[in-house]
Amino acid sequence: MSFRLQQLNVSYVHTNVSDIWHQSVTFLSNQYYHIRARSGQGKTTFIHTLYGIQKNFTGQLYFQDKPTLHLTHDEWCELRSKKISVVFQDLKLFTDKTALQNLLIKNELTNYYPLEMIHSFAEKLKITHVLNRNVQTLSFGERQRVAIIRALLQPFDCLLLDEPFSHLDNQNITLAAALILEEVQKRKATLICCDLEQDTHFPYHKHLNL
Amino acid sequence: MKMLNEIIAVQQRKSNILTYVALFIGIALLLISAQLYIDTYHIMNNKQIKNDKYDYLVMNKNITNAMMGNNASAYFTAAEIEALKNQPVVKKIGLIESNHFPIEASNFGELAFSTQLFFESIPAEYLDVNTDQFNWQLGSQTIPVILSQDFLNLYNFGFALSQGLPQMSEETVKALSFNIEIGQTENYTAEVVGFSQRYSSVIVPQSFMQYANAKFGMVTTKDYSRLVIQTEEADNPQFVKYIRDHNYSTQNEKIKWSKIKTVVGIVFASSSFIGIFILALCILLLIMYLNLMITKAAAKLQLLSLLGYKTSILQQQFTSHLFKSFLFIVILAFLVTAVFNVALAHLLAKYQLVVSPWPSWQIILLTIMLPLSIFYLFRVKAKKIIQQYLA
Repeated sequence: MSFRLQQLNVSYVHTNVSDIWHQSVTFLSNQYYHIRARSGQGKTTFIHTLYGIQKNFTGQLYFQDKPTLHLTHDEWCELRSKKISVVFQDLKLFTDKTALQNLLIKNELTNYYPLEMIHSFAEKLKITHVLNRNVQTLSFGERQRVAIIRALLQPFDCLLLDEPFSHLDNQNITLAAALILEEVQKRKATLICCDLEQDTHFPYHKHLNL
Repeated sequence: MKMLNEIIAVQQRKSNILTYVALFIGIALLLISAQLYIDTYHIMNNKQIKNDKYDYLVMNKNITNAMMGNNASAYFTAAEIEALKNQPVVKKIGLIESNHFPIEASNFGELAFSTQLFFESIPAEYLDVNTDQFNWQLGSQTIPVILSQDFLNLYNFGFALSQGLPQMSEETVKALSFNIEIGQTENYTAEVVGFSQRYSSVIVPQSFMQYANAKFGMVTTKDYSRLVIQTEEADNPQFVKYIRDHNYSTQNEKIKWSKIKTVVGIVFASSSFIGIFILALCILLLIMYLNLMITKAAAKLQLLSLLGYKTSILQQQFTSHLFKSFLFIVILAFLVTAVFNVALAHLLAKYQLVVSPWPSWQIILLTIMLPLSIFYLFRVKAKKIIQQYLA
């Protein structure tokens, strides 16, 4: 079991019918969840809440059966390097550093993969040629792929994706989704993917409306 | 953490060099002042010729005009003795008991004399004469007496020469005996068994004094007008001030260093204070610099914490190089102090003043404690500032 939500709600999110807000939801290991939401329905808020950034909520949020309410900052950092990984909608890359530096800063903390593995990921997503370029010179699609690879350079029990493929063409989406799926399967992890529309990028076990 | 260094590149600014120079001056001033103070104290405590670990101060009240005709006011009260005992440098107090009965000493023969006399008795441990003859038991007709060295000198150089009388060595006096009549009834033979440099008095064993005072004493109260104080530091400035304030009097010879000690203490305390002041300012500057660096990197720190970097790891990025510089400066200041002390020891040796060329343990302790406490301070501060931006 990864996340369990009990009557979770954030005051500024207003929805009439939701499978998540004000509900009791459990996310299981090795299960893939698709969360569909239109813009402004609190998709990013939801991801930020699960990642410990947004803490102003009512109800209860459990991770691996422990309430997250009283976790300290450092305890959240520990979870973020060992248990939970994320691809943010706004990616959160160091724009003044190269793509490779952005990947290494994560891997240096976790020591999860050797350098060759990082290069093979880059090759799979066709961004090898931009690895040594500053992130600000990259297209959003290229940046998205850097952020995806970065999310995979650590152990995790749950992977959170916030519109991960919004700027990728179908061919690149297929490549990226295949890589993500492979890594999630390796770790027997939970996958939670938020998107605007219904999609079939992953073999979802459950679809939820936000 | 190579990549972390690249992301949070903390550069040393040129203006920091000034801070480090000031820091060096402050720490060096502090260490040298402390070392000098310790050296000086060492010299002053060695200069006194000490036969013993302890000094003995014979103390009485100053006789003033107001006290005349009122002998009782010359006695120490129990409260005054207790207060003296509570002085930090006072190790023990011996009570000097005097006779409360008339004594008539006389001798016949070649050196015939007759005089009224006084006795005092002092607990044996406070005496500076080592002799096993100095005891008296009930029924014994012979009283052993310890005379002041001063009395013999007065006689030999003041009296005997001018009066044409023979001068006497200590041995001669020890061979003489004279008659003592106490309370106009009992007769004893007195024998001089030693000479004291510490007490200007005629000293008899306590057992005799107690016996005679009980039997012939005209007053029953036990009062003491003179005390002897055992102390390790007779010239301790606070103690000397206490003596003066209470209008007591003692051997001035023994407490003459006290004034110099006070002055030296003030001089080194003020230079230490300046050193500490500079040090404190520099630490403040470094903390402000720390604050500035962290503030500049705030956005990056937020992102790093989202990637899972804990505060303790981030904090090191800012504190480790500051700490290394600080440690370097402290070690440099310590070396300068050590070299200074060696030079000083050489210089003073020419004047027969002995100072150890090695830095004292207090200085070494300070050199170790200073970086440790700064290390702790920097860490706590950096963590606090970082947490402000991550909350």
